[in-house]
Amino acid sequence: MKKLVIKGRTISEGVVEGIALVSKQNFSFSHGIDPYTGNICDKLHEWIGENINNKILFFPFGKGSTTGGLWLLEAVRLSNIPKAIINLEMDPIIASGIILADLLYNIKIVALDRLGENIFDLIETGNFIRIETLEGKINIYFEND
Amino acid sequence: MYLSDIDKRVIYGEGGLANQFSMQILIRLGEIYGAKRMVPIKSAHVGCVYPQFGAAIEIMKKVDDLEGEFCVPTTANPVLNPINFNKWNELNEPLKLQKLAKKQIAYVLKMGAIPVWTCTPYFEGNLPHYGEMISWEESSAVIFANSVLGARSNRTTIGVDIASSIVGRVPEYGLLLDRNRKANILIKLNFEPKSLFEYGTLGYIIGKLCGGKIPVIENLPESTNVNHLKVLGSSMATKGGISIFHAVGITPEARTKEEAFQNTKPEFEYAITRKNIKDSIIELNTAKNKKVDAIAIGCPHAGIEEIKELAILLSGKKVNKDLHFCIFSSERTIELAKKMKFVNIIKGAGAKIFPGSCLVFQSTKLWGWKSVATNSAKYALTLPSEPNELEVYYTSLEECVDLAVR
Repeated sequence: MKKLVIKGRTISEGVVEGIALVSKQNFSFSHGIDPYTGNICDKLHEWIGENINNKILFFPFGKGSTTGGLWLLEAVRLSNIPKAIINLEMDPIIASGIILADLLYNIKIVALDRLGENIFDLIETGNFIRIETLEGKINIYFEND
Repeated sequence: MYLSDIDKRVIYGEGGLANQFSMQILIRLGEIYGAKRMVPIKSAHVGCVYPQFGAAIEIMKKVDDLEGEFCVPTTANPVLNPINFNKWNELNEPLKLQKLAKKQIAYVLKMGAIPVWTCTPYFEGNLPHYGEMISWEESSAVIFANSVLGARSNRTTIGVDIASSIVGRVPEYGLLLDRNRKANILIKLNFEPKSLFEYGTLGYIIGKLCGGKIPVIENLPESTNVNHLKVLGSSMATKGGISIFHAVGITPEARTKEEAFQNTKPEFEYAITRKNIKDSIIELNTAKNKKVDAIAIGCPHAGIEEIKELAILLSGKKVNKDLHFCIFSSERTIELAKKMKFVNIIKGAGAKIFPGSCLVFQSTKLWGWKSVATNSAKYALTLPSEPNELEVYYTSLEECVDLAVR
């Protein structure tokens, strides 16, 4: 596996492994996922047909309704939980969903942002990834061809 | 983040468990967004969205279990049906959904919510003054408070809205700070918007051009009133995620263009013409034809002037039996409209007026509705998506009435 020591901001720390889902399109959990299955249901998004459960999600920015945090939280309640969410800049809507997932359901979703746009070219959908955050340091291990 | 003695006492649990839980949410949010401190708020506005989502109910249950109570005046957004669940069967809501909505409503009332059930709380006594810190939910109300009133609010979301009403404090970031209210885009108007319909369309165009930025609108006509500004902001917020705009000579932080830009230069300038309005009306139109199942008016909630306009247009007319004419407003505005005899005229024409709710919450799919006509750009943007998935014929209030009565 390739190791990347990267600068960025840790919003919610942890060590996780999983398959990456990467898009350069912005994404909203509100109407973007079906909380009961974790399936992506935004017909206009390139992730249509994918599922968020256990995935490491890379997308630049959140968008749309303030209810996005609740849609994410409802998916968490129904055990359709992404392992990590990585944005260029995380908006308060997604961050609120992540904070409440922890405080209400004790589910920790790793959240990072400000890693630079480069990351969206280095990592592709389907890559197996490991993320470690420790005291402000972020290590990302990834496997691709 | 610096925590004052007040904040520390809350986080150590001296203010009770609900305050402690709420403070944990707010501190974590504040740390993410680089807030240097917590600041007190004077009012809040909360929503009761998605009662069908267990998580929405469980957040409220958690705060209720911890005996949470709102410590600042807190108004509530529209809900599925606030007034009388039996009466709502006129629109035939599934019983299960009614039951969940009722539960959610009971929780916020117990916490002390002021039951205005409207997306225009500023018309219902929740009126922040210039510079006042508030914590509001509902994008159209937030943009109105920031822009037209000069109050200061971030768009809050699930959990955070309740938490700030309980603690009465919010982390100071985003639009609470001067520097983040500085405009960066200049919009010049080459035409004069006339109706709510045209102001809503203009808001849509600005939202599209300025997503995530802060626009300044130059030369809005002198005839611009608060209802125009309400509608202008609502479509700007829905289309562009914008939470503040300035209008030179009209909004309080734009007495001059220079003040709005805080003496910096605009990043971009756009001129908007009447042709842009015409093109956008076509763009917002998703209906195949003018034969619609319903007319939907009142997004944001219709003010008394809009109800008056409707009463004049509907006077002496009859709405087709195979079509539903729905008007959404607040309970108090409808009371006024009753006293002014507008409701008699509207009901006499066969239109219905619903207090405290919104079409986006309704099970329109179950009722077999495929299409609606509306003069609201926000409805034109929201009704085509889940759960309504309606085709929208977007047109003037006059044509909405024409379609319904011919």
